[in-house]
Parts: sequence; structure tokens; C-alpha cells
Amino acid sequence: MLDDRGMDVSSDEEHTLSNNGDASQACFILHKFTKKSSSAVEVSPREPALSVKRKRGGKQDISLSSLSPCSADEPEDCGVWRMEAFKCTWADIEANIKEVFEVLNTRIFKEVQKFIHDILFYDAQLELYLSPKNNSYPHVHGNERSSRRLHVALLCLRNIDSSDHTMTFFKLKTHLKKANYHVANLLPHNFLSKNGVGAPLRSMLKQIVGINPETTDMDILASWYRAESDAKSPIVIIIEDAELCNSKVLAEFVIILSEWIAELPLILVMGMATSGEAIRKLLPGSTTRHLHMHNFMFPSPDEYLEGIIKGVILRPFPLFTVGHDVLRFLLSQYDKYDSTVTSFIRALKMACMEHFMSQPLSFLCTISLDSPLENVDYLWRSVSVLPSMQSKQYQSDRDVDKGTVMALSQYKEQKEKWSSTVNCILAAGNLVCMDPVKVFAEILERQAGGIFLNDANSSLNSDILCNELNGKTCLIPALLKRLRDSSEFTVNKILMKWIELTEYIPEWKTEAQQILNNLASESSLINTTEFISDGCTGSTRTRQLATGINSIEDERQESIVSNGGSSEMNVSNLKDGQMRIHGDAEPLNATRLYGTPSMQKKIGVRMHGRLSASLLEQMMRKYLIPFEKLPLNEALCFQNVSSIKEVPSGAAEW
Amino acid sequence: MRHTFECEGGKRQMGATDAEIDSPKASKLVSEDGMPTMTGECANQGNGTRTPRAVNGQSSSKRDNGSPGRETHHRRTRSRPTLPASTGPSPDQQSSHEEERERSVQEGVPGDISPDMLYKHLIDRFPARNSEIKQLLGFFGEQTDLMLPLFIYGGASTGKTSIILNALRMMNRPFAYASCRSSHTPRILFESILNQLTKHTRSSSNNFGSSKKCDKLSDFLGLLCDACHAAALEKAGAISKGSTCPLKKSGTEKVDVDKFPKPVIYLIFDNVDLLLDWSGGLRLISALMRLSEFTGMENLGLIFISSLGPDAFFSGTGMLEPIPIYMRDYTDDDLYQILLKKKPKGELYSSFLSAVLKPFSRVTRRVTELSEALERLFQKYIEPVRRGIVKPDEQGKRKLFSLIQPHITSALHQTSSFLISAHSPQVNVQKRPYGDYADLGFQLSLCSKYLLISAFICSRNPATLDATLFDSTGGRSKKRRRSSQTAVDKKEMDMQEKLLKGPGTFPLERLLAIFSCISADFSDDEEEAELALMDHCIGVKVSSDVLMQISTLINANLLYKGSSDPFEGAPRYRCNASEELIQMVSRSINFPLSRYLYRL
Repeated sequence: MLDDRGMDVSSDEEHTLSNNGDASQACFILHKFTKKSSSAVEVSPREPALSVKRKRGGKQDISLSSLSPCSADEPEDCGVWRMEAFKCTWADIEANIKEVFEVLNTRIFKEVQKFIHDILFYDAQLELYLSPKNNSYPHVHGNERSSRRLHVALLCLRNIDSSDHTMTFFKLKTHLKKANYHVANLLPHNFLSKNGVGAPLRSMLKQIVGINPETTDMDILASWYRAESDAKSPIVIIIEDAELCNSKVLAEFVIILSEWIAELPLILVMGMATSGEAIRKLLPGSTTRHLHMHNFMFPSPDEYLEGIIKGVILRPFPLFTVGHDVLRFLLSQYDKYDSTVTSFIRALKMACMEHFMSQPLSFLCTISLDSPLENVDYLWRSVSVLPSMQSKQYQSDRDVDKGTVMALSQYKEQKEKWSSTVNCILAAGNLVCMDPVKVFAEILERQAGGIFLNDANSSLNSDILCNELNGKTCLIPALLKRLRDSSEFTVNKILMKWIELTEYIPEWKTEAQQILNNLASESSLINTTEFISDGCTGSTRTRQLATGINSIEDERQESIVSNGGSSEMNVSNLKDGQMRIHGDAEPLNATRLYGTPSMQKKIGVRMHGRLSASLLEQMMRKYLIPFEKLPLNEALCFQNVSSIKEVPSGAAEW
Repeated sequence: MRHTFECEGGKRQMGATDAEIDSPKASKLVSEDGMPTMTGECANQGNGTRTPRAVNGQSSSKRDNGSPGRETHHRRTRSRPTLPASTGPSPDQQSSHEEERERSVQEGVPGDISPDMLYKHLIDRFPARNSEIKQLLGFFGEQTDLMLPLFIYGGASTGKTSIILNALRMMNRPFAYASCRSSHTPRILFESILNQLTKHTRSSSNNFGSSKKCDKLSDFLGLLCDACHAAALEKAGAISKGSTCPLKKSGTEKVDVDKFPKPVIYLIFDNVDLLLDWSGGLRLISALMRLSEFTGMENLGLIFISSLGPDAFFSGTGMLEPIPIYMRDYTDDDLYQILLKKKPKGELYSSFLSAVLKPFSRVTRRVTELSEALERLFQKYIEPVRRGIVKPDEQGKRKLFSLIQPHITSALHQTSSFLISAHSPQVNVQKRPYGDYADLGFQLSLCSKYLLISAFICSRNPATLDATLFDSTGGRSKKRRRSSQTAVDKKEMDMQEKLLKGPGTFPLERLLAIFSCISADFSDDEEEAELALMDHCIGVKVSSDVLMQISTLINANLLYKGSSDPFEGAPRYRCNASEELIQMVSRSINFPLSRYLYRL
């Protein structure tokens, strides 16, 4: 895969995400071929829907204005609408993916830039220190500098497959060039044994000096640098995927560079797929002793995937949704085989493409029904025959129209609430150090199994903390348990985050705000009490809290008995308990048990942790409804796992 | 055989046989008492504005003895050295020299450097190199003294290049320096020398090209003559300008170079041991050694610097051997003096060095490496003093030593390896303490993990054991023999052999067979079953995904793919991953690796 990738990235202008454009073309071709062979329907190459343009280079480019009809009676406009809907949807998704990558990568780019700047500053200071004024013989002080080592920034990509970073180094180059640095980007194919060290040197000189030199003498670079007016800028040489380079050529190249650090401010940046320690195997000791290495860690693939889940999958817009089974399949492929986000994105694009190709009503994802449409008869007819819409009895087209609009708004509302809920779970998981990708995978799994549905006998039981799902330890019960036992700081942070994330669920926002207010007021109250009392007698407030906890515990026990072992502790119960906290109390018991102010604080926080956990549990039950159960899901949600399974994983195969 | 040198006065006999020109003998020829044979009048100036690779021939030189007739071209007839070997200049003399030098530096006019000052400066700058510096200065002699090729060799970081360049720069001799590392082709090597001699400046106007295109040795010889002639002319002109040259005709600036003694042009070839790896490298070395002979220029001072000894070049080749100068490795005392010189007022550092230098000097004798490694340890050493816990007296030093002792071993390990300064990982690791990267530092897919474990098992276990380990029906249980002394010895021998051999190689089929076995065994849970229903491949069927993961592992250097055997027609693989890494991988997926490993 990487061999091919190495060839792919030979041009600087190529782009990881733009490469995905080939995927849709492949999909079009595959569909065309399948239809031709299976249904034996003649698809004329002159068909207006599929126009093939030839480029100057002889490369074929397929530009489409309309998708082929899903059925024989489908009007041509629908194909155009679906095409438009696909373009609009994917443009939105792609923009979000780009943003995720940019945000995560820019942080590292800035760190590298700062490192280079610091090194430059350090060198300037050193030169000042070793200036001729302090030296007996000014013309021989160069040796002090030559004893220095070449600074190398090792950029660890943290994935053995570096497909996700085909564009990263090009962007790093652009970033550093903006800072006025002289940058050259070298690729593994520059370091082949047959070409020797001349090839990387030639490429470097070409990029920095801008000429095609006759010889690959480093003196050319030195002369150019001396003549360059902007002499303070460092020369940064980026080697992508250093592990793919021929180690002998790379070692020779590094030593040549290290010989010139006395005259040129050279800094090497090397991309390492695994870790910085891998350079020990790559370069001999005689070379590494010329280097001073600094490690930089790129985000792991899981972090990129988390960004994509939050920035794309959990985004309420567009309406196009990837079904839970499909998402589970993509995540399992990522976990089991590929571990590259590039493959995940490509599969996502294929899913998107498949949906708009195969679903006649898929244009409803973006189209507005407020404006007058042509071919409405076909539209209403198609809507009324959808299985998810058949439960409602429509008398006329107007009813269908109304029903469709309602279904769309219901779907949109549910997606917003689902996204908010999942975001809240992930935020809570993040704060208690849980892997968001795994938590998300479990949410999908539970949703697919219908576990979140409002069923009293469901297995999402707060008391069974080590609940197992399909033989695996579950994260959601563990998350709820940790939430209950969280510190005041964590609970506070989680509630703040929830308030921020629940703009589409006002009731949750209110509840979270209320708990947060209570927590803040009680915290200040207990702090005051702690300050006033010496902690021996215990305050009335403490007794109230303790009684509250006792009553909650009692209720829980009762609940266990009544539900046959599965406790159903909902927010209303807790609310009652909380109300009772402010009422009468049993002072003796509480004072004995929870006397000290620190204990009082713990009790108070724990209770709020419980309230937060219960709130989360209730929201999960209420809003984590599978999209497959919503009306119009056929048109808006891609559920065809078998079709996406045919899509091979891995960049090279696409 | 006697070596002859062509001078303007005809051929002069060197007067030394081949047998006589070995290092000690040669040095004797130069100075019988080991003193450098430099005259005190030899004037050398520095020019601070020069670039390091430019020919040093700009500045004027004062010659009290201006008569060229008195100046001899031959080393053997040189006057006695005036440089005192052990006694330096008197404080008064020194201060006056320093004042003069300061003045010259401030005014931008190069000042005179007397030989004793030069010697003093060099041994001050390069401690523990007194004899080598003396020897070198002796060979250099005066500006017009001819010189046999020198071959300077020794380990890395012993000051070979630095001493030569410093000495030549301070003596203001014209020289051209070329490293065979940077000049990685003959053309670059030749052009680099010529550019320096002709003072060619690369610029955008000449498209950063060389002065002359020079691809072949024959071209180089021709061009070198011209370049050296120009350089000598310039230098001679400079000398004549600075002195009262009788050849200087009134009204004209022209110098009759043929009658004036030609200054020696030094050509320094560094890292010549790399030439051995070039195609035709040995022939090139041989030609470079005989440049004087080929070009007919006797005033070429050839200096070769190498990390390999002369035996690697000249043994059994019949080549004319240059004069070897060996730069020995620094002794412990030398290292102590050098390191202490960096911290002149460090009494604590002195006691620290005497305590820890010995174990460190066994690991490395490179001053740069040692000073870096010791600096880190020294910071730990003086920490109790900084905190005020320990007083820096005799008793305190003993306490400090006992405190630093546990850190010495780890610091020794860091010296032999290298340190990677971490910049950003803390943030990431703290943020995400979960996942593989918490242990491994990078992410692997489940399939890659199983493949890596399979490869490790293949590399470690003999192929004959596979049936016993992985096939419940196919493994034949052998009768256990009683262990005799011979059997124990054989086992030990096998173990040693296995250690020496390293990881074994295996064909792809074996890797995939073991992968199928272990991934099927450990993916029997419900989820896997469900997934198996979805894609019918996990654990059983080897799909293209698995093969792609193998190629990815090869690219990451975790698997090694050998060249295909012409008889078998299939490449063999080897697991490059360390046992620690595999242990971590198997822990992350709860794989009982020890159960599958064959231990001798």
C-alpha cells in the first residue's frame, strides 16, 4: 500500500482528501458495469447523464450532472436532485473532515515551528558567545560550531500505516514557508540505493535554490545562502516516512548535512511511522552520534477518528445519516484491519455515494419541500409506499405532503437529540479517561441491540456495574459508575460541558443547570460551615444531606425488591430524595456517620454525581433511538451493510 | 630509490630512501630533537573575513630575511627552529604579542603570529596533542618548504582535521580543503578543489556552477596546474608586496614568479577512507598521492586525513606511502584535563570527574559525547549542594559520591545510546492514557498484532514444532529421553547458536498458517462470530486485507522481507520486532504468548 502511496505523493500538489474523488468515480464505473452485466439494460455511452470528457493528458474524467435512475418510472429530475444532494452532502462532510485534520495538525506544526525558532535563537546566542571578541584568533572559531550536532525533529505519526499523513508534510512545508523558512520536502523514493546520495541532494537543491544544478555539491547551497538577503532564516529539510528510505543513503545524507552545520543553519525533520526509537534500527551509531534528536508526537489515529466522529457523524446536519450497522462495520474494519482514518473516510464516501445512487428519495436529505417541485406525484407515491410511512393512513397527496414534512422535521429533531446525547456521553467519558471511539462503538452496539429502549427489564442497569455485552466488559455502566463516584471538580466540569452540548435538548440543559447550581451552592455552604465549625459536631446541613443519602439508599433497596433485582433509579426518585433532604431529618445518625466537613463535602458531591449519572441514563433511554425506527429512514439513512462490505479497505485498492 | 623533486634549479635529491621515510625517521630528518623547524621570521596572518574554504593567500607577510636566495626550498637545509619546546614566551613577550594581536584584530589588519605563539595557541586549543602538533609544524616548515604527502589518521574526534585547518589558517598558508564525504563524486571533489584555488564564487549569475567543468582525472591534472599557478602567483605577489622583494621592478607590479620561490599550495583530502567504497577509489587515491609527480609541480603539499590506517590503503599496492601521523586516542588523564578546561573554576567538577570519568571513558573517549553525558550527571551531582543539603567540603564530596553512584549506570547506558528530547508527548499521553499508544507508542490494528505475534513465533520456533503447537491431532508426542550430561551440553550449545543466529526466517505460507490458527483460537467470542457472519474472513480466511497488513509491517521495518530464493521462488521473511514489543502487543490483546514459544 505504501509503495503505491510513495508513488502517489511524488507530486506536491496531490491531496489526501482530494484523492477520495477517485473513489466516487470508481463507484460510478462499478455501478454502470453491474447494471450492464446484471440487468442487461443497455446504458449508452452517449447517455446525457454520463458524459465522459477527455483531458489533454489522455486521462479520463467522469463528470456527472445526474445519477442514473433507480427505477424505470423515476423522472430524470430526481436523478439531478440526487446528484445535487450528494454533492452538497459530501462537500459538507469533506469540509468538516478537513477542518478536523487542520485543527489537530496545526497544533503540531506550531510546536515544530517554535522548536526551530528556539534552536535558531540558541545558535545565535552561541555564536554571540563565541564571537571573535572573545576568541584569540577570530578566523579559527568555526570549529566550535562544527562540533555541534545536527538538530533533528522526529515527527512520530503513531501508526505503522502512514496513509493518513500523505498531505501532512506538504502542509507542514507550507506552514513553515509562511514563517519565511527555506524548506525542502524529500520523499522515500529520493533515497533509493541505486541513485545514491545525489538524488536527495539534487531534489533539495532544486527546491531550495530553485535551479537544476549540474552537480550535487552542498557548496551550491552554501553559496546561495550567503547570497540570500534573508540570511537569518533556517533551512529545514523534511524527510517523509524515513523508515521507507534506504538506510545507507539516508545515513550518508545525514552525515553530509551534519558536515555543513557550521556554515548553514540546517534543521532536519523526519517523519517516523512508529516511534522515535525506530531510528536506532534505521541509522548506524556512527550517524546518530551526529544528531541531536527531538521527539514530536502527532495525534494517534484514534484521535483523528474521534475528531471525525464528533465533527461529522455526530453533526446534526446534513440529514444524511449512516446507519448503525454500517458504522459498526466501518469501525470494526478500522479496529481489526486498517487503523487508518483515510480508509474510514473513503468508506464513508462510498456509503454516501451508494445511498444517493440506490435510494430514489435520497434527495430529501437536502431538498426543501417548501418550494414548489415538479414531479410531485412520483414523490408522494414513492413516500407513501415506504415501509416506515405505511403505518400512517394517508387519504390524499396533501396528507402525504404534510406527513413527509412532519417526518422530516421529526427525523431532524431526533438526529439533533441523538447527536447531543452521544456528545454528552463522549464528553463524560473523556473526562473520566475513557476511549471515546470505544464508547461510541458500544453505544452503536447497544443501540443496535435495542438496549437503550425504554424497557424496565433492559440490561442497562446502574447496579450491575460489570455488565457484559457479548462477552465483553461494557464501558457505559462503568462510565455511569465513575460518574457517580466522581470528584466535585469532575462533576462540575461534566455538567458545564453538558450545558454547552445540549442546545437541542432544553430539558436536559435545565436539569444539568439545576444540578450545577445546587452543587455550587452546597459547595459554598459546606465550605462556609467548614470554616465556621471545627468539624466535630456537624451542621444541620450535613445531617440533611446524610438523611437524603439514606433515604435514597432505602429507596434504591425498595426499588431492587420491586423490580426483581434490577434497580430503576430515575431522576424523579432522586428529585424526591433531594426534596426530602431539605425536610425533616434524623440528626443523630447523620452526625455520627458524616461528622467531618470533608466527609460532608464528599456526600454532597457523591449525591450530585448520582444525580448526573441518573440524568445521563434517562437521556440515553429517551434519545438513543435507532434511526432505523424513524419514519422516512429509508430515504435519509444508509443501512445497506452488504453493499459497503464489497468496498475493499485500504488506500491502494481504491 | 631516491626521490627527486623538480625545482627551478633542476632536480634536487631528497636524500632519503623509502625505508627512511617512515614516521619517526622522517620527523628526525626534519628536526633531530623533535622541534618544529619553523623559523621565527615566518610571518603568518589571519584574515577574519575569509570564508573557511577560500584559499588563504590574501594577506601580506613580512619577511625580515627578504632574500630568496637565502630561502631554501628543501626542508633538510632549513635553519634550526627557534621555537622553544617546553618553555613558552616570557610574560612580557606574551603580553606584547597579545596587545599586538588585539590591535590587529581591532584594526582589521592581520598581525604577525610568531611560531611560539602559534605553537602555544595550538596546544592550548588542542591539549594532549603536543607531540603531534610539533611534528606537523615541523613538516609544514616555512611557506616555500616542500613537503612530502602526509597521511594523518586516527579515531573520530581526535582533532585530525581541526588541528590541520587551524594550523594552516593561522599560518596563513594557501590551501584547499575537500571532504570526500561532502564531495561524494570525483567531479565534485575535483571542482571543489579547483574552485577554492581559483577563488571562484558561485552565484546566481553563473547559475551556481563551478569555475570549470572537470569530470575526469586527466582534466583535473591539467586544470590543477593552472589553478595552482594562479594561486602561487597571487601568494608570491602577496609576499613580494609585503616585503622588500628585489625582484619587484620599479613602476610595475609584475612579479617574476619563476625566479621567486614558489609558496607551497596545500591540498587537504579529508575522509579519504570513503574513497575505498567508490568504484575505482583505490586508483583515485593512488593518483592523488602522486599529484605532484603527475602535474610536475613540486610545491604541492598533499595532506590526507583518514580514520583508517595506512595499511588499508597501501598494503601490497606498491604505492608510494605518504608520511603517516597517528592521532592517538585520548587517555584518561588527557580527557580529565580537557574536560576540566571547560570548567576552569570547578573544584567540585574536578572531584566529580575523578569519581566518574573512568567508567565513562570505557564507553566512549569522544570529548563531545563525554561532556554531554557528564554534564547531565553533574547536574544531579551538584543538586544536593544547590539545595543546601550537602556542603562542598571533603566530607560533603564523599556524600555526594554516594548519592550519585546509583545514577552512574543509567547515565552510562545513555552515553552508549542516544537521547531523544521529548517535546509534545506529555500533553498527548496525559490526555489519552488509554489505547495501545500508552504502551507501544503507536497504533496497530488487531490483524497486525496477530500477524506480528505469528511472525515472532515463526522466527523463534523451529518449523518442526508447529504441528505440536497448533495442530491438536497432527503433533506426534515424542518419547522423553532422560537428560544426560551430553544432552545438557548439546542444549547449551544449541542455545548459544540460536542466540548468535538471531531470529530465523520463514516462508509466507507458514506465517499465514500460524496466523490463521491463533486468530481463530482467540476470536471465538460472539462479536467475532457476528463479524465472521458479516465478512466471512476473520480468523479463518486470509483476505487481501491481511496481505496488505503484511506489506505495511514490512514498510514499518517490523517484518523483514528477504530476496526470493531462485530455487524456491518465494521470498522468506523475518520478524524484526524485539521481544519486549511483542510482549506488549500480546498483553494488549490478552494473548498467552509464552504458551506458544519454544524455550530451549
